[in-house]
Amino acid sequence: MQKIITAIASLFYCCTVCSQDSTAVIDSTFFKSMNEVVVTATRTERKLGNVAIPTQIVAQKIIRLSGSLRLNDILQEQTGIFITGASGSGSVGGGVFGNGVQLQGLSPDHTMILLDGEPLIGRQGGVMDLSRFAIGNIKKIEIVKGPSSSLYGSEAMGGVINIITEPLQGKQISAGIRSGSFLNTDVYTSGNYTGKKAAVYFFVNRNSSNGYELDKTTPEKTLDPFYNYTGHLKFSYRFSPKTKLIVNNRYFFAHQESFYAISSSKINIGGKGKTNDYTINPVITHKFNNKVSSQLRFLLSDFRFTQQLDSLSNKKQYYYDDFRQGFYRIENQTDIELNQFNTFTAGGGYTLQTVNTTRYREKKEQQMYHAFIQNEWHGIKSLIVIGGLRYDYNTDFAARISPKLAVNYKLNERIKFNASYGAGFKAPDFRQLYLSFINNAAEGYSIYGANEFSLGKLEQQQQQGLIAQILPAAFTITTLKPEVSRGFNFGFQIQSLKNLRMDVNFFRNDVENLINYLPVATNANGTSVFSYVNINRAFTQGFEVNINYQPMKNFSINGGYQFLQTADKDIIERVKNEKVFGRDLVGGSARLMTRKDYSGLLNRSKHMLNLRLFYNNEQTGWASSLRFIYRSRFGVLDKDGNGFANMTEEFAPAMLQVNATVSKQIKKQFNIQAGINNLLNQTNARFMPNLPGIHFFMAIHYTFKNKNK
Amino acid sequence: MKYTVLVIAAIMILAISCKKEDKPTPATVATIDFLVNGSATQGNYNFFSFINGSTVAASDSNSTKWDFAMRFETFIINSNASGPGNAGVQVLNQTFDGVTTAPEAGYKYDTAVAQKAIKGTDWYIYNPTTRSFSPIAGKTFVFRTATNKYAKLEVLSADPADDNGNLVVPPTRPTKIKYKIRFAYQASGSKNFN
Repeated sequence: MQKIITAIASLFYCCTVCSQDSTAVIDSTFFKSMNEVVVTATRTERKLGNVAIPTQIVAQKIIRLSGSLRLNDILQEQTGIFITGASGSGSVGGGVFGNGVQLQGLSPDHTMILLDGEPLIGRQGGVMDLSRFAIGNIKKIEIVKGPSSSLYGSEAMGGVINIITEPLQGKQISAGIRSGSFLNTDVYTSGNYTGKKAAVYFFVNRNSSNGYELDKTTPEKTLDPFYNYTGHLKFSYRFSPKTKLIVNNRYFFAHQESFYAISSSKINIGGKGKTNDYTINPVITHKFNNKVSSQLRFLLSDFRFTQQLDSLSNKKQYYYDDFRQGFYRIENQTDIELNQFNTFTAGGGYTLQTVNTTRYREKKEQQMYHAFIQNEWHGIKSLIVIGGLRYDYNTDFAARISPKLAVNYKLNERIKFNASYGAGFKAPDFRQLYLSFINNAAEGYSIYGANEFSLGKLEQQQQQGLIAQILPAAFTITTLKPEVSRGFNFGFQIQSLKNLRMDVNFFRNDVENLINYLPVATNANGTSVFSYVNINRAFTQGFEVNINYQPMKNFSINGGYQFLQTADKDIIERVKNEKVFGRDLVGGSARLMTRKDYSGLLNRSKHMLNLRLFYNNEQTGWASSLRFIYRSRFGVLDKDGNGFANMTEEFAPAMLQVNATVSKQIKKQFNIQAGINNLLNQTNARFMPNLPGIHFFMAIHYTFKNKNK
Repeated sequence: MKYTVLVIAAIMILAISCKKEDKPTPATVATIDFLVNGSATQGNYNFFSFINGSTVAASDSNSTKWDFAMRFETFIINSNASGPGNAGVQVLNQTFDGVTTAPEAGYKYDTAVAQKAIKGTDWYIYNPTTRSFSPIAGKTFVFRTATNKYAKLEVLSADPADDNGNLVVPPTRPTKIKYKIRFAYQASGSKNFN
């Protein structure tokens, strides 16, 4: 492993040095110039060179060359993005927790995932399963890290991932089929039609797999068979040169089988999970004049996951879960060019969110109002300052104001500096407030959201002899406060000779009032009763380097590295001031832990590295990609009860994933692609169940473009 | 890693050699696997005796042949509400080796079915997300046994297992918990473990 890293590192170095002599012409599909238009930072179109908030772009060409199908495939190859595996129960796809995404070491519930600027819903346990999203309809992905934009919501503390779908332009039709290992089959068709006033785009996809098995010693498959459908329909109508309506609709249906061996060596429980989710998103844009434009956005979205498992022998119901979430929002954003120096944005909206699940006593809802202002100032030619304020009012919590500030200074055409500061907060989610769950299986614990928890009820149960002891923590349960964060980013970008660009960004995030569960009482049988409290304080800090180098017209090298340190501040204090013990071996003797033994928050790799080579020859039609993705070991378990990972067995091992593709364009219409993923066949059934062993695929794409207007 | 093992071995040898010099009646030290019913609510407890250093049949539960018993992660102690013996227990925040003598006082009993001497939160952490529970390192149980002798015990590991004691990982549900425990038993009635 060490050798591989050294090799990659020296290759990096080599590239950086070589670039001095290069005089190559740039292929814009690979190399993102400062003129690339981005939307995420300001929620209006801006040139990449003119945004104060560093934005990374994953272009469609890169997605296609990589042969990626689902959102998690492509995101996990990007610098500093850590996809957490499914945890505990359930299998991938329909799994309870799925693949969540961390940015700058902040947990998945602090990352906002947007589809064309609107939030996606359907998080379970705070985690959004990214494999729900097909990416055949994506034009590009913009990634903004840090809490620097006030336009999207204060919970976007780790950053924003904005998935931008195909634009409404041209007349074309495409179709494709792909098949590979585990009978993983993907079929799609998409098309565009643009008229004088109206335009339409559609995308339909079916994705299925027979599943796979990573651990032959267990009767269960690691991934059980599934199939899913995605439908995307977008249309626009121009009422006048000044007024336009775009309606974005997305529908997703998934069917996931699940089979388990419970108290048995053979499969004895089985059933299926179904996911249904849809989004309807009409946006009306009106330009009042050259200086004032306004958008009115509606969002109706609904997510439902049901799972029923039955005993295979007597057909009796073993488990049933029904989770339903609704998210309805109306929002206005108005942009005003005040003068040549200032662009002012203001907006506000209303959101209604509902959740109904078998794990809550009843249907719950929350209403939220928000307003934001943001001003972009171009006072001096080389300086841009964005300042913003966001006001959030939640029916369950006090109002909050979150400030943001971002500064961009262009030293010259080649060197740019940027710094940003932002404060954000995340209101307690429904689960932390309303969960009311008694596990009747072996463990027999129970867990209550803070609003469901009642000390009086516990005392009553204690009198009845059901509760053995009420712990001191029970008396600290009060109304949950939002989690509060502050983030600071500082970085620079250097572009040399047009074909080498390096982005460096340092970051530090401090989060307080982190919500976690705590045992509040002991049942008569010894098991615990849990509830949620604001308890932890944590930080994440580190830096990220991205290098994009194009030595030849057809060839591009992308490399990235993130160094990350994280800590629970309270654990550090405990280790310093109290006696905290740990073991060096499973079943070994305990010894006193020191600060050095503390490895930081679980599920965070200290080092993440990627190197991605892309070749694309327009003349011959040949293209290929070779991608290396490395992440160092990360803590997953706490086997010695001290709250952190310190012994080898508490870590998931380091992993190097190698993926490759080759493709050939035949005439204008056909493209044939073959690929191998996970070439080194690195697997870990327990901690990375989402990563199958080495697997292959073949794909054919057909595109027909009508050039007549 | 090798180095760590060597160091641990050296410490152990040192500990053993010290013991020989100091005490005419050394405590017996052993590390064993203890397979326990994995259900928190149903089925028998598994009984343990320090004298034999092994399990005791459930049919002897109404005797002083056992000192403590476990089911899932619940301890019961042979005295008061749980048995005819005179056992007592306390959990100290010290390493196993760090406890050289049993305290004079402070021993607790199961005073009622719902009032056990040992609370789960005294010695382990349960994580409902990963459904795992971890014995907290540096927690040493000091027992007065059913027959008024002294013993100290450390839970080294706790793993979900099947009926045969083979470890299982999620999503397979365990039926047993496999404990690895280390204990020292002072048969002389002295409180000194060295």
